[in-house]
Amino acid sequence: MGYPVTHLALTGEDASLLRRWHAAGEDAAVLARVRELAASSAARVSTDQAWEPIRRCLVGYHPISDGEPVFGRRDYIIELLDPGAVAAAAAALAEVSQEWLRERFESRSPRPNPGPVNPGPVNPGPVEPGPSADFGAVWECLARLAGFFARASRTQRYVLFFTASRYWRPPRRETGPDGRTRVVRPAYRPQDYTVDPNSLRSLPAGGGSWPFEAELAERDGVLYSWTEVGRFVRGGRTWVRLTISDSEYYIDVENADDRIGRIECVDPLVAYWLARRTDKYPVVLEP
Amino acid sequence: MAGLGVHFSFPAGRGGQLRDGDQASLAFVGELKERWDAYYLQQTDQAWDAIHRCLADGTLAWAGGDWPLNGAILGGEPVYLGRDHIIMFLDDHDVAEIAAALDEVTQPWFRARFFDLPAHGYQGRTDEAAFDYTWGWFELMRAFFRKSADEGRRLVFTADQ
Repeated sequence: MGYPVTHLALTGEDASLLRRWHAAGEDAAVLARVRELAASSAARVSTDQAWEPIRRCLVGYHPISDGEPVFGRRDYIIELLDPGAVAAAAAALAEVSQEWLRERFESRSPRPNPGPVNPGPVNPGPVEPGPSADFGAVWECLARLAGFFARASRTQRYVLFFTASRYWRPPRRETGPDGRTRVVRPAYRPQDYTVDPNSLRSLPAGGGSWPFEAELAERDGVLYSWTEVGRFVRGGRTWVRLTISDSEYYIDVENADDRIGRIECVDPLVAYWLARRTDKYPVVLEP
Repeated sequence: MAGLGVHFSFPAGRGGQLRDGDQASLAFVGELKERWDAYYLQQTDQAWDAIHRCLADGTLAWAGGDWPLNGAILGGEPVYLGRDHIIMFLDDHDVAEIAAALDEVTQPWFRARFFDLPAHGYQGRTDEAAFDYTWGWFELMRAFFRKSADEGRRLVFTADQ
C-alpha cells in the first residue's frame, strides 16, 4: 500500500470515547484524536510499506486488522480490536516462524509492476515504478507487531488499526533518493476518483436560493466548501468544474439563468487527468 | 458515416506482430477486442473523426496537421493497409509525447477548431450539441492518453470503415 499503517494500543477509556464519537457521527473528532494518539503514543507499531505483504501472508491464518469500525468516512480505516481479539491475535502471531512467513511471502507476492519509466517532457512530469518491501523488512515488521500484540494482550489493552483506506488512496509527497521532492501516486483506479455521494447531500436539487456566483463565493453559499478548477461551455451554458479539499473527485455545476442548474459527476478517468495536472513535482506511480 | 473508434493500450514489450502485415495486425487487434478489458481501452464512438480533424488540419488526411497532436487518432504508424479497417500504432514514447501535447489543449482552442471544420470540407454536424458530444469524447480520450503514458504503455487506434 505504501501509506502509513499503524497499530495503536488504547485504554478502555479512549476506546469508549472513539465509539461514542463515531455513534454520534463525529468522525472528524475520531480522526483528530487518532492522529493525536498516532503521533504521541509510545504503544504503537507502524508497518507502512510492509503492511500489505504482511496482510497478504496472514490471509487465511489470522486477521490482525479486522475489528469494529469506529470511523464512517471512506478516506481512512479505523477499527478497534477488543482485548479478546487482541489476545487471540497475540497468540496467533507468537506462532509465526520466519520460515513459514517466507514461504507465504514468496508464494503470495504480486507480479512485478510492468510499467517502465516514461519521461514526459512537460508537466505533469515523469512516472516511475515504485519500490516494494523486501522479505527482511517484512519479517522485521512482523516481529515488532508480534511483540506489540503480546504487550497489549498482557495489559488488557484495546488495539486500534489505523490506515488510509485501500479504496481511497490519496497521493502523497516525499523526498526521493536524489533528495528532490516527488509525488507518490497510486496507479489509476476508478474508485479513487469517483464522487463520494455523501459530498453531494447538501447540494440543492432545484436551483438553490442565491445567485450562482454567490453560492460559490459567499461563506454561507452551498458551493463555498468546493474549489473551482475551471469553467467551460456545454449546451450553450457555462458550467463550473469543482473539487473539494482532501479528495480527487470533481463535479460539474451548470449556471442555469444565474441559479444552480444540473450537477454532474465528472468521469473518474477525467478526474485522474485533472488530478495529474495538479502534480507540481515528478510523479512516482505505485502499483 | 464513421465507424466506432477505440484506443487499446498494451505493455511496451508487446505488439511486435503489428509490423508483420495486415493479417497479423488484424489478429493482434482481434485479440484485444476479444479480451475487451475496459481498464485498458477507451472508446471515442463516432467522435474520433471530428476529434482528429480538430487536432490536425481540419481534414482526415493521415499526414495532415502537426505532430504530436495529429498523432492521437490517425497520425501513428499505419499497420493495416486494407480499406475495411483503420489500425494505427503508437509506441510508448509517442504516447508520452502526445499525452503531454493533449494536456495543453483548452476548450476554447478546440471549440474554435471545431466550428471551423466546414471550411475544410467536413460535412458532419457542427452545432452546439455536436460540439458537446465531440468534446466529451475528447476529454475521455485525453485522460486515457495520460493514464497510458503514466503506465508506459503502447496504443493502437482502431476503427471500422
